[in-house]
Amino acid sequence: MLPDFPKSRKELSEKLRLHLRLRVQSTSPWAALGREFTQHEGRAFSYEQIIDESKRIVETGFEEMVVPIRVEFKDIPDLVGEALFRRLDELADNIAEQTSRLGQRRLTEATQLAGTAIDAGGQPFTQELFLQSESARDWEFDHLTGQQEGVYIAHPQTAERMHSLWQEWEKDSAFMKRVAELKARKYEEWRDRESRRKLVD
Amino acid sequence: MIERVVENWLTSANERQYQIPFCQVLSSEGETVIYASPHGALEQGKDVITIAADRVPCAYQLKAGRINLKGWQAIKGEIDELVELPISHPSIPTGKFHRPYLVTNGAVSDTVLNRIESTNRVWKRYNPKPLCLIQSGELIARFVRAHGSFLPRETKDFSRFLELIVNGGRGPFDKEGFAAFLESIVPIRPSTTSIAPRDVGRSASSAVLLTSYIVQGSEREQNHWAVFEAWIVTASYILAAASKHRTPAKWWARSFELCELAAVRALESLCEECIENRAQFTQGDPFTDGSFYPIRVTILAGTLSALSLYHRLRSEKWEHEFFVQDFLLAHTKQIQVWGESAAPYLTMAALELEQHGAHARSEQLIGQLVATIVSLNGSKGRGLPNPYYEPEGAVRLISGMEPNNPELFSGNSYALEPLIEFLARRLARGMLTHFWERITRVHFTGFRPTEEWEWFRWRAENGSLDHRMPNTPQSWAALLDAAENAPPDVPALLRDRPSFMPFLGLVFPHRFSVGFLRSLERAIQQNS
Repeated sequence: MLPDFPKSRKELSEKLRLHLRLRVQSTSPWAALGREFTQHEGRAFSYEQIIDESKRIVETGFEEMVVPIRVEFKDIPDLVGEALFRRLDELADNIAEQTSRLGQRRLTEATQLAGTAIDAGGQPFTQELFLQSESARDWEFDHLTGQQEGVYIAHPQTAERMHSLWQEWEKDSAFMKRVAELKARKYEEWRDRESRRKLVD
Repeated sequence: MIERVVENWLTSANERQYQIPFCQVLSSEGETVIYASPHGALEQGKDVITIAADRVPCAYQLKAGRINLKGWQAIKGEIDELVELPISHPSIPTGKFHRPYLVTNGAVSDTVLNRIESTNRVWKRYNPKPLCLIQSGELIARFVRAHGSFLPRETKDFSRFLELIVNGGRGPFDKEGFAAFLESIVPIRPSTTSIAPRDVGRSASSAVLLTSYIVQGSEREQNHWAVFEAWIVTASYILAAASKHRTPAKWWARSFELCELAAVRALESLCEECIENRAQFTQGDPFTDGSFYPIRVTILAGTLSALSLYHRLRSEKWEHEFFVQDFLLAHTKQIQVWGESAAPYLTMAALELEQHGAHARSEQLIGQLVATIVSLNGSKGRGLPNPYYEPEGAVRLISGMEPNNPELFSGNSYALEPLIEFLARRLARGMLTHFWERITRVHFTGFRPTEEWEWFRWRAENGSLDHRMPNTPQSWAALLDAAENAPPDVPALLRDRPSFMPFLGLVFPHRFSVGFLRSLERAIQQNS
C-alpha cells in the first residue's frame, strides 16, 4: 500500500463526524430537540406511549438514511479546509432534512394515535384552532419558575405567520383571557400529573 | 505459525500457568480430568489426575524448565510420591495402579533419563506402571494437535490474535477485541448454522488454549483482574456456542469448568495480593493514582465479593470470606460510581455484606447508587455513562478525555429497575418512597436478545432495546409482587450455573438486568 497515517486519520474522522452531527442539530429542530439515544447492540427497540392514561408498547426498528456522496479522485487533494467543510455541510443539511421528515412523520403517527393531532385541513390558522391544539396536548412547566416549557416547530413561513398573528391576538383581551384560563387549567393538570409521581399502597 | 506461538508461550510459562491448558489438552485427547490441584501446591506429587480412555488412572506432575541432575535430585522426593503413593480420590477405586507422568515444558538431560530408567525398576515394587516423561517437543505437538481446525484462519483474525498477545499486560483487558477474536474460533457466526457436538467441544478446547496464550502478558504482570476477565469472556463464549447449537454438556462442560477454574485462580491471587496489602491498595505513579484509587476500590469490592459469593453458591467454605467482610466494611465508603457498569460491582458487594448480617450497610450502598443514577440521569446534562462503557472508558468520557464522543445518557438507565427491585425485596419502602418522584424522570432501559445464545455474546446482533416508563403512581404492593416474580429472560445454561452469575455480571455489565438479579438472588437464597 501507499504510505498512510491511520491513527491520525481516525482522530480526524471523529472530529469531522462531530462537526457533522452538530451541524445537523443546528439545522434540524428534530435532531436538536429530540431525545438522543445510542443503541450499542441489537437492531430493534421498543418504547411506551401513553394513550388515554394507559400505556401502549410500540415495537419498532431503525430507519436507514442514505445520502449519496460522489468524490472524484482528482478532487481529493483539494478536499481540505473550506472546501471540505462545504461538502460536509451539504451532507449535514441533507441528513438534517431527512431527520426532520422522519421526525415529522413519526410525530404525526403518534399524535394521530393518541388523538392529539389537529388537522387544519388547509384552512387558515385561527384563534380557535390554536386553542383547540393547545388544549389537546399536555403542557410542561418549570419546577422552579413555573414557566411553561415547550417548543413550537413550524415551517419557516408558517412560523413567521404565527408570529405576526400572535402579535395581533395579544391585543385581543377576550382571546388572551381564554389563553390565561387554558394556561391555569393546564397548570393544574400538570400539578396533578406531578403529584402522581409517588409510591402508594 | 501457531507452533511458534505455542512454543514461545510454553517455554516462558511456569507450571502453574500451563496447568489449566494442559488439562484441556488431556481432556481433548479423551482423558477425563478429575482433579487439578487448585493452588499449584503438590498433593502427594500429583498436580493433575485423570482417567484415561482405557480406564487407567493417570497422575501428572508438572515442572517448568530444563531438568538436569541437580534439579532431578531436588524433586526426587516428589517424584517418589507421584509414582509410589496410590491416588486417593473418590473417583478412583482403592488399590488401582496409576500411570505416573513427569511433564516439563523444557528438556530433560540424558543423565536424568538414565536415572528415570533405572529408578523405574525400583518403583516397580510399588507401582508396576513406569514413570513416563513428557518433554517440551511432545508437549508443543500435543498442544497444536488439540486445536484441530479451530484456529484463526483469516489474516485479520490472526493479526488480532497476535495483537492481543503483544498488547496484554498492565491495563484493563481488551474484552471487545478478544470477543471479536473468539467469534472467529467458536462456531457462532451466522454461516455456522449446523455443527456437530464434537466440533463445538473442539472449538471450546481451542478457545481455552488460545486464551492461555493471550493472557500470558497479563499473567506476567500479575494483572489478575485482566486474567479473570479474559477467562470469563471465554467461558461465556463456550456457553454461547453450546446454547446456539444445543450441544449436550459432555462435549464442552470440561472446557467451561477449566475457564471458571482459571478465573477463580486469578481472583484468589487478587485476594492474596489484597491481603498482603503492601501499598494500601495504591498502584503506580502516586501523582496520578488519586484519580483511579476509588475506582480500584470499587472493582476490588465487586470482584472479591463475587469470589466469596461464588464459593457460597457452591456451598464451599472459603478461608478468606472474613477478609472480604472486613474489606467491605472498611472501604465501601471510598467507592466511586464511574458509570452504570459499576452497578454489578456494588450489587455484589451489597449481596456479600448481607451474608455477614450487614443489611443496613448493604441497602445503604444500593440506595446511594440509586440516588446517583436518578440525580445524574433524571436531570439535564450528560448523565452517567451506560453499562457499555467500562471503567476506563467511562472515566475518560466524564473527564473530557474523549472530546469527539457526543453520546448522552440522561433520561435512561439500565441498572435502575433491577436496583429498585433489590430494595423492594428488602422492603425498603421508605427509601423508595423518597426516591420515587426522581425515579419517574428516568426511563427503565433493558436489552433483550432475540435468541438466548446471544445473551453470552459481547454484543448481540439481534435483539430489542426496551424503554419503559416508571408508573405514576406506583403501587407498592404491585412493585413488591413484580420484584418477587420468577426471573424473566435468563438463559437456562446460566440458571443452571448460578455460581458463574456473579462473574458474568461483572465482566458483562450490560447483561445486569431485572432477570439476572432476580436469578442470582434466588440462587443465593437457596444456598443460604
